[in-house]
Amino acid sequence: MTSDPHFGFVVVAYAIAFVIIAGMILAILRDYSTLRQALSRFPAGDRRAAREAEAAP
Amino acid sequence: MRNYANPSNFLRLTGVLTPYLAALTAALLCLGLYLAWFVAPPDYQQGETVRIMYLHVPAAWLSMWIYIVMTSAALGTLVWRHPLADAAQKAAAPLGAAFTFLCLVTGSLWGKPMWGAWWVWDARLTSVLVLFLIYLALVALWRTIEDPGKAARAAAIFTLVGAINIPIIKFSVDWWNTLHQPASVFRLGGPAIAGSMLWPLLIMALAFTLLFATLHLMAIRNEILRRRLRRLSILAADAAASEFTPASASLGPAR
Repeated sequence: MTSDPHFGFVVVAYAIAFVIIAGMILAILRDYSTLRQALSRFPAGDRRAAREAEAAP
Repeated sequence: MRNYANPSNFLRLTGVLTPYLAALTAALLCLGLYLAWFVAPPDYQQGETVRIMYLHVPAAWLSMWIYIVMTSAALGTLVWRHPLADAAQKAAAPLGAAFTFLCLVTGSLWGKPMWGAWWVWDARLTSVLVLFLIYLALVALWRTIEDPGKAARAAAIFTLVGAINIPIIKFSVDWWNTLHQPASVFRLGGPAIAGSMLWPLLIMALAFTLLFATLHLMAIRNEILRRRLRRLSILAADAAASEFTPASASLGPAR
């Protein structure tokens, strides 16, 4: 497998795919953590009211 | 379906589904990678380079599939006014851009050893590049328009207009004389690929699709929380503004 003259292209393609997929996962998880942190600064009563307002038509 | 229009119900559903979807995705990705690297044979002409196909083709399918999901969500926003449709559309755009970028980069890395060029202005490659630019434009549109309602409508209309590119991508290899090969899996007469290569490809495609489903659910959850944060911030700002009346800000009569 590694003796193929173009094996480097295969390895680079998989490495880039790994970076892109890991980047997507980390970006979404970081965004979630930032949002949760920002929401936790508001009083629980206000958060409940906001949730109920979302459900209203 | 209407039941999940309630963001709180949707968040509960996401909380239950996400761990199972993530575990299934990880298992399928491991299986797909094992099959792609250690079971699938090298191509008689392309040698080991064919292993790029197991990334490139699923990413290419997903780049179009995500746009179809976004088009459905755009219809949901404009026609049915589903409360989560614009969140679904907004959450899908960066994922679509990432998978399209992966498709372009892996295609380029496959093209260099096979065609002798990193890039050619061939109809298939160019139409996929246009798709990537549409995804970026949509992400930029959401960031540019401050009012979320206006941004959702503008993005929905833009998405519907951009949907014309999807059949162009699919049939570009039939309508024009291209360097890119024609369809070899979804074609009349059945797949043209040997079973030993087709199965790893289908498993990788399923793994990528589940990966998108998992990330999309998580990103929609983030959009719901972002809306909630925006609503709370506006309420807090309104409350602060009502306390800060001109009378309370007065320095009192001059002495």
